[in-house]
This record gives sequence, C-alpha cells and structure tokens, in this order.
Amino acid sequence: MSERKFLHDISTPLTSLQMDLENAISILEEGKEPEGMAISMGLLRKCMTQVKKSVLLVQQRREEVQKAETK
Amino acid sequence: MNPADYTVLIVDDEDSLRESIAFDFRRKKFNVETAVCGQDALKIVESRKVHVVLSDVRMPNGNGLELLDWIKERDIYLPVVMFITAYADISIAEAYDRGADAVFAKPFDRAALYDAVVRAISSLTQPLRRGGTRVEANAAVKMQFKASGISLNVNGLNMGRGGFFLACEAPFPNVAEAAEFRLTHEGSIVPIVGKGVVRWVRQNANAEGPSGCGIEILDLDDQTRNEFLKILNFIKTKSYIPLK
Repeated sequence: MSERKFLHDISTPLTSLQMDLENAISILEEGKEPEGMAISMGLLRKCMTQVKKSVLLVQQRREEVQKAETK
Repeated sequence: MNPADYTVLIVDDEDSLRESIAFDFRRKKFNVETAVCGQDALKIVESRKVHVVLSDVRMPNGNGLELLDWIKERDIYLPVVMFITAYADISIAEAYDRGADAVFAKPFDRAALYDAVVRAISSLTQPLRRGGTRVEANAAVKMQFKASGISLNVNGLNMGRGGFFLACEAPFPNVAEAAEFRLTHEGSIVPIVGKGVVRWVRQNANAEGPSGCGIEILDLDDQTRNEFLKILNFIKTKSYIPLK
C-alpha cells in the first residue's frame, strides 16, 4: 500500500467518523428528538466500525513500513 | 431559505460516508437522494428535480468527473459540489475550472460543506450562472488580502461563474485567505466591489497557466451584483473559477 493509497483509504472512514460523532453529540446536547438516545447509539456503533477500519489500515501500513525498513 | 424545498443528491460508492452525509442533510431538513455511482446519479438527475449534487471523484461505473461534465453539459444552472480524497486524479483548480461549485478534500469540515451547499443554492450565486466558456475580461483589479496584507493591482483577469483567476507573482496569498476586491470593467459604469476567498494558488507557471490564484466570490452588495450580472451576460462563462 503506497502512502498515497493509504491517505486515500483512511480519509473516508475518518470523514464518516467525524460527521457521525458530531451528529451524535449534537442530538444528545439538543435533546429535542424523541428517539435521540437510540439514534445516537446507532451513530456511535457506526463510529466504532469506522474506528476499527481506520485501526486496521494503520496496522497494515505499519507492517508495510516495518518490512520495507528491514529489507 | 427553506431546506425542505431543495433536494441534495449524494453520490459515493462508500456506504458509510454516503449514509453519514445523507443523515446530516436529512437532519437539516433537506430532501436527500443517494446514488452509489455516476451512472445511478445520472438516472436520478434525469428523472427528478435535484438542486445540488455532492459527489465523490473516484467511483466505479461512472466517476465524479464524468458526472460533473455530463451535468454541466445538460444544465449549467445545476450546482455541483464535489468532494475529493486527499489525493485525487484532479487538482482543485481543475475541478473548479470544469464547473465544480466547491471542492473539499476528505476529511472535510461538516459545517463548511453545509455552508457551500447553502451558498450554491442561495440568491448570491444562482442568478450569476451563465453558459459558455471561460473568458478573459478587460478589467482593472485591485485586491487586498487580509491575513497576509498583500495588495495587488492587476489589469485583466479570467472570470468564472462564481469567481475569477488572477495572474500574479510572489508573494502569494494563502489558500483560504479572505480578500476584498474592486473590479473596474470596460462594460460597467460602477466598480464591482466585493469579498472573496482564495481557493487555490499556482506558485509556478506550468502547462495549466501562469502563476496566480483562484478567487471565489463570497459577497456582493445589491448594486454590485446587478453590475456583475451585466458583465456575465456580456462575457459568458462555464468555469466556476477559471484555471488560467
């Protein structure tokens, strides 16, 4: 995975994560939506998926860098 | 502006991001349509009224650039807001030149995306859209960049639907820097006075054009807007901010 591809791949889950977190916080702070808690929980679960995706990409990239350095 | 009167089409092959953006705009009371590729987006644009398209660039089955070209050929008045990845196959300057109304690098700011959508459908830019190609305008331009304190006096510029390209040499203003401008065009009696923002800077001349910067127009007063409309009627332009 090149640096370029890594940045490309990780930018999508990070963007999604940021948007969902901001929306979850906003829903909880406003407290106006009747299903606010359930919606926020759904968003937070989705955030967790995006965090896992990002972590996986970072781990893959780290392994590649380590391999390249030991050659 | 009542968001419920407007439909935003979100095009991205990544389910998570497409859903995140759709959720955000639904919360803001917009009508939202979604598509997973350029071809699906075309079918939606052909079959119902869409006011703004938010599209990724890299997608299978019709990428964002093909979609942009097709939409601008069909309806120059339809705003297209594109978002791109950190490294895309197109420069920000080229995306504006091809007609994109706003360009974002992921990860982008949610509030900035919302502002761009509102601006795209607002009365500020909507009446300023005209078909044709980018053109050079005979105008004396006075620019004052706020943060860097740079002042420019230039004769001639290339004008787009939502901004202009200004050829200049170093020192260059910074991207995202606010600017105030005053254009005196041969076809207008009153100077065009307004506020803008630097969207991109080309520090060295290359095949795309001379060194300079792309300025998006953010604010024009009523009198100035009427004069600007006269100029756009006169010169015709497709680019949102021209490349050169």
